[in-house]
Amino acid sequence: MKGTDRWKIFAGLFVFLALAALPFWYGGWDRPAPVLDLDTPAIRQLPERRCVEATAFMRANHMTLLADWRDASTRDGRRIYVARDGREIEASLSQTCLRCHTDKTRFCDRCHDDAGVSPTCWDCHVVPEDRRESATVTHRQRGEGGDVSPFPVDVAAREKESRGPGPR
Amino acid sequence: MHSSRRDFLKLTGIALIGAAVPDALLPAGLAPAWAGAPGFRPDVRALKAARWGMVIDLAKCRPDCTDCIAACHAAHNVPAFGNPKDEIAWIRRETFGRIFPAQVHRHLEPRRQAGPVIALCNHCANPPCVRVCPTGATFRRPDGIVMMDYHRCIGCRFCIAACPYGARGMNYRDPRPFIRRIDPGFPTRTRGVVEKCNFCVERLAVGKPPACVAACPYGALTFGDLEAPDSAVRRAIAGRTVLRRKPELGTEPQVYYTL
Repeated sequence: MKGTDRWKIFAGLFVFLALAALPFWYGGWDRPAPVLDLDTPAIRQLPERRCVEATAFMRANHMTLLADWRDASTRDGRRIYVARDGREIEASLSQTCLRCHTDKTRFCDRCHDDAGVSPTCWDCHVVPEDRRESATVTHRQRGEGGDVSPFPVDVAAREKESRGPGPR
Repeated sequence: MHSSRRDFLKLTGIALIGAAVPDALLPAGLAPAWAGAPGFRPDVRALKAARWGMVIDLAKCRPDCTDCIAACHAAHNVPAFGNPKDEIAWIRRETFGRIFPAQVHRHLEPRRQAGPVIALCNHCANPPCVRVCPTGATFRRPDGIVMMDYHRCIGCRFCIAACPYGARGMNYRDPRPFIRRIDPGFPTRTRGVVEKCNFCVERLAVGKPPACVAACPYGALTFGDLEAPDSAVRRAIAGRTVLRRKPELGTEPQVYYTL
């Protein structure tokens, strides 16, 4: 191989790598992580600031957890999730998650926008701003479903008396 | 490190055997983070049955009443597109002549023929919609409810073609603008999915009867376990003349009409 050819190859490689790394140049190397708003009234009232599972687990695995919730509640009719610490929580995106994380734009969307993902959950599941827009009826106002506990008043505490022996 | 083809094949075999070992058999240290810990259980408030069914007493149903329809469609965010071609109804009011055409004859009183009949998904014991669904989105629960998992619906509409009762409707457009008031207690649907009556699984799961049954002011709708001899539905059909829609098709509808 002649010396001049080698120069051309390396120049071409350099240009290719620079172009392939364009997203990094474009977005910056050390962009700050998105800041999530955890200061909602519901979260402020929590006795212990703990999500369904530990924060690190939720950050990494919430999508898997939600998919498991979806399959268990829809396909198997098992709607109560027993967390690692034993709390029993209604497996529901809109009834459980959104009770605390009331503002989707300041919580869910911050990371999803940053990561460039667009989950289709909200096409069907009703988010709080949709409630404000067009919905005035809530279960509580209609006098039914008022006994459905908002997370984190866990279902276990309510059902302790009524639960018989046997497997969960 | 030099590795021969033989070593590579050995390693592949060992890895395959390892992958076949269920997570539960692994020692705690080796188990993946997800295995073992959390779980699911049904709500203890849930109503249970061997086979859910409904009895509609046509003698009690009034022609001027649509309470069951209003209650159902409000509870499930059913859109009203305002166009018969796109109509979606989980429960609808039809006439006797349209629902039971085989019972119509020349001497049937017109009043009877035009009388109201409430029509909804029959939750067939042998549901053709379940058989044709290519994704398993429509499935039959062990308690007999034919349910839709909207997450899996691809909008192919085979089920609409298969259903002999017209119990299903397709969202050809985004339904949200056509829902009068969105009830946050139940999801809406999205464009491109089929929907139908679910016998109120979400209400049964927390110990409540279906919305239509609870809303009927005349007690024309009865809901219960068809396998339990002393259940409300069995008492409602005992000794009565019972009609079912198109029983000759062999779908075994589980909605019974008493005259």
